[in-house]
Amino acid sequence: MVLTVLGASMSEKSLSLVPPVEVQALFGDPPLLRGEDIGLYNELMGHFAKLVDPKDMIEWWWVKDITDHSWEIRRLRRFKVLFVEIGRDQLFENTQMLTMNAADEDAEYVRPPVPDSEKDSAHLFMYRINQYKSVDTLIASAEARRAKTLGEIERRREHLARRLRKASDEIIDGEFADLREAAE
Amino acid sequence: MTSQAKIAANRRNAQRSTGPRAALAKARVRRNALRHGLAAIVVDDPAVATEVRRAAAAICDPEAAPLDRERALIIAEAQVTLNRIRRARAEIMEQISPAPPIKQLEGPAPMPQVEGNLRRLNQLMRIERYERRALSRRNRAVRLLAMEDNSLRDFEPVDL
Repeated sequence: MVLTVLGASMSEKSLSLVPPVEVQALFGDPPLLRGEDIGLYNELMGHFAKLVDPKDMIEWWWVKDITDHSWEIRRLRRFKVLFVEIGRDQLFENTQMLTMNAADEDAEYVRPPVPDSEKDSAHLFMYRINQYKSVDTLIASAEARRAKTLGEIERRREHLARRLRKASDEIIDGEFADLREAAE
Repeated sequence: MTSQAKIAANRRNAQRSTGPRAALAKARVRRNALRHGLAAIVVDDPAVATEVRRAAAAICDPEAAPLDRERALIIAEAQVTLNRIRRARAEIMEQISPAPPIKQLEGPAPMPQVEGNLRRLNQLMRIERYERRALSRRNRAVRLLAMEDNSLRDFEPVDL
């Protein structure tokens, strides 16, 4: 046997598997943004690790791959929604600032409505369509990477890849808050 | 047609300027074409080389055959590259944020600026190919290493 076998700590009833210290050291810092919940990231990784039950370092890297790709896909999907929301907030702030100046000069000036209708959202979406396209391309790329990793696992452990794909799909398609439920 | 005088003048001018001469200037311009360093060979950096060796030791027994150890090194190097790429991606994503409102005192309410975010999204798309390349390199080496394992003797590597 060529591969070095690594153990992991896990209680009988635990729903997740904690990577051993030596594995965590090789993972390095998780690729998270400020404000993202490292606890949730670790929980997600623990959930995938429980399913895979990695036997060596390579399998631990697969677990990290699936975790990182799933996390990234979720993040990018949220970015698409946030682009419109952020645009709406900025447009509102700018409109407020301009109407304050106009109101100072003209007492009968009517303030424009807050841009919160579906039509406003569509307008902002049209304005941000290029960002949407770029994010869609990135999502497709992350999904392809995830599929490739699952393909690698499938070659080695066929049944496991199917379960892992299902778990990853559930986590990507559900809300972050549902992660704990998905793990149960 | 270019005259002989003009050709001679061009040659004289070219010999006057052949790039920076001072060590500091040379050091500065050698990074001109460098954008993110993700295409660089990671083991050139001593700190990264240590990380690669540590990762390779976790994959493969030090007593294993030289070919297996070499494959373990390829896997480790690709993995360290992947870690760097993912950190670089997170750093770029960190910059995709709401721009401050545009301070404009007259005219219609301006729409939010998107150019900065678009530029960063394009950067993210450009680094994709480095990750794809590193993943292919790692997966191929893993498959070859697995072929050495008795339990996977019938394993057929498939090129992606």
